[in-house]
Order: sequence, then structure tokens, then C-alpha cells
Amino acid sequence: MTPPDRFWFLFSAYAAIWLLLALFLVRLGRRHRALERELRELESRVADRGPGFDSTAAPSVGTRA
Amino acid sequence: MALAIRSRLAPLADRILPAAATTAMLTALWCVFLYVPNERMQGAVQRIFYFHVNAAWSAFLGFGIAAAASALFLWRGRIEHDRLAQAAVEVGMLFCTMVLATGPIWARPIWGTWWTWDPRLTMTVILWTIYAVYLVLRMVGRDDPEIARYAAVLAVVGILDVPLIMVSVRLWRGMHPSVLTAPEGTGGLQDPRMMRTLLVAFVAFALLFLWLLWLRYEGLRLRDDVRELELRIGARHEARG
Repeated sequence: MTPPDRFWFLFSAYAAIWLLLALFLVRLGRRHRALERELRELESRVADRGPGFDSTAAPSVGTRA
Repeated sequence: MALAIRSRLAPLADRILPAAATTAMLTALWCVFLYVPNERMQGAVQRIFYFHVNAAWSAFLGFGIAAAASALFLWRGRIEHDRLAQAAVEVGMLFCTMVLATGPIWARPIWGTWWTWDPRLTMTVILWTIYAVYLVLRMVGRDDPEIARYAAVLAVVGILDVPLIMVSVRLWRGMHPSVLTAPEGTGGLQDPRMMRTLLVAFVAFALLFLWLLWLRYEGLRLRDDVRELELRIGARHEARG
């Protein structure tokens, strides 16, 4: 196999690594955003019900995921 | 106690880990493409090795953490251990998939074939399948504690495949090269720059692994908090009639 062909294999291997990592991070980001949305909805439902509901154990929307 | 450790760890993990992992990864890429010389026989394609091997070690680390955390979960029944196991399996699967993707790309120009049922390759596919089943169980089982325990048993049993992968080259005389354990003069890393590059890539992958594990663990913790809040709102709603 000639050297330029081998460079193509090298390029493909590293491209595969970065593609997999990017897909993983995108999926992680989507899940995080969905959870944040859900949390905001729950917080607004708690706020609508007025005082008396203890939501101190609930995390804030800014919590990392 | 655990909460206090977490609150101290969180700012450190959020700020330092991504920066450290990115810096180390850029250094590793510089080493792989500009610093390390070509291997005599394989040429440029041997440079795949530095990331392929470290991805394998990261996968083993992920599955090892998952097995240990699952054993603790089975013993003590604490949700934090189960959460850590699930996060470690997900990150371990990412690295294991990298190994299975880059291996055939290296094999095609060197062995002349994309795939062969060599013992080490076969055992790695089995490892990937075991933990893929774990993830399917977690997806299907959702909050079922029974399924969580079955999955934990699978994670503990699955780790037994890792030592088999390690010894498979010598035990069954497979085709897969054992570069690091090769006797002197029979291959391996001939140039000291090769070992340095491998070590830099090792640090980069270790930091990337820790960062991804942290992100996924925190994601699962947030999901559990949301579910708990939903339950509490539901209970409150029922109490009010």
C-alpha cells in the first residue's frame, strides 16, 4: 500500500474518534436541556401553588449536568 | 458528608477539568502528528496506536469503576453508587466504541483485512456487547429497582472479560500486537519519543474520561432530583384533593 493511502487511514481513524466524541457530547447536551426545561416547568408549577410547598430539596435550573 | 465533598468538588470539576482535558488533548495531538517519528515498518498509520491504546485503557477504567460501584450498590443499596455505575458504563462504552472503530482502520493496511476473529478482538466485541446489554436494561427498566440490581450483577460479571482481553494475545497466540509487553528487539516502541507520546496521550485520555464521567454523573443526579420533585408535587396535589 502506498504512503498516501496510509495517510487516508490515519485521517479516518482520528476522524472517527472525534465524531464519536462529538456525538456523545451533543447527546449529553440535549439531555441536559430537556432536564432544564422539565425543571423550569416544575418550578413554575410550585410557584403557582403559592407558599406552603417545600421545594428546598429541588435543584436550581443552573445546576450542572 | 458526601454533599459537602460534592459541593467542594463541583467548582473544581466544572472549571479545571474541561480546560485541563482540552490542553492535554491538544498537546497529545501535537505529539502524535508533529513530534513522534514514523514507525519503520508501518509508517504513518502506526500513529493510530497512541489514541487506540489509550481509548482501550479508558474503556477498561470505565467498566472497572462500573463494576466496583455496582458491587457497592448491591451491598449497600445506595443510589449514588448505582448512578456512578451507569455513568461509568456510558463513558466506558464511548471509549470501547472508539477502540472498535479505530482497530479495523489500522488493521486494513497492516493485516490486509478490516476484521479477523482474533481472540483479543473477539473478547473486545464480547465486552462491548455485555455493557451494551447493561445500557439496554437501564433504558428499558427505567426506575425499576429489580432491573437496576440485575444490571449491577451484569456489570460485576462483565469486568471478568477485561483480564481475558489482557492475556488473550499470549494465551491463545492471536494476531493482535502486544506492543508494550514485547521483548526487547522484537518490536514495541523503539524510539523514546514514542513512549513520551503514549504517556501524554494517556494523561489526555485520563482527563477526558474524568470530565465526561463527571458530566454524566451530574446529569443523572439532576434527572433523579427532577423525578423526586415530580413525585413530591404529585403527592401534594393528591393531598389537596
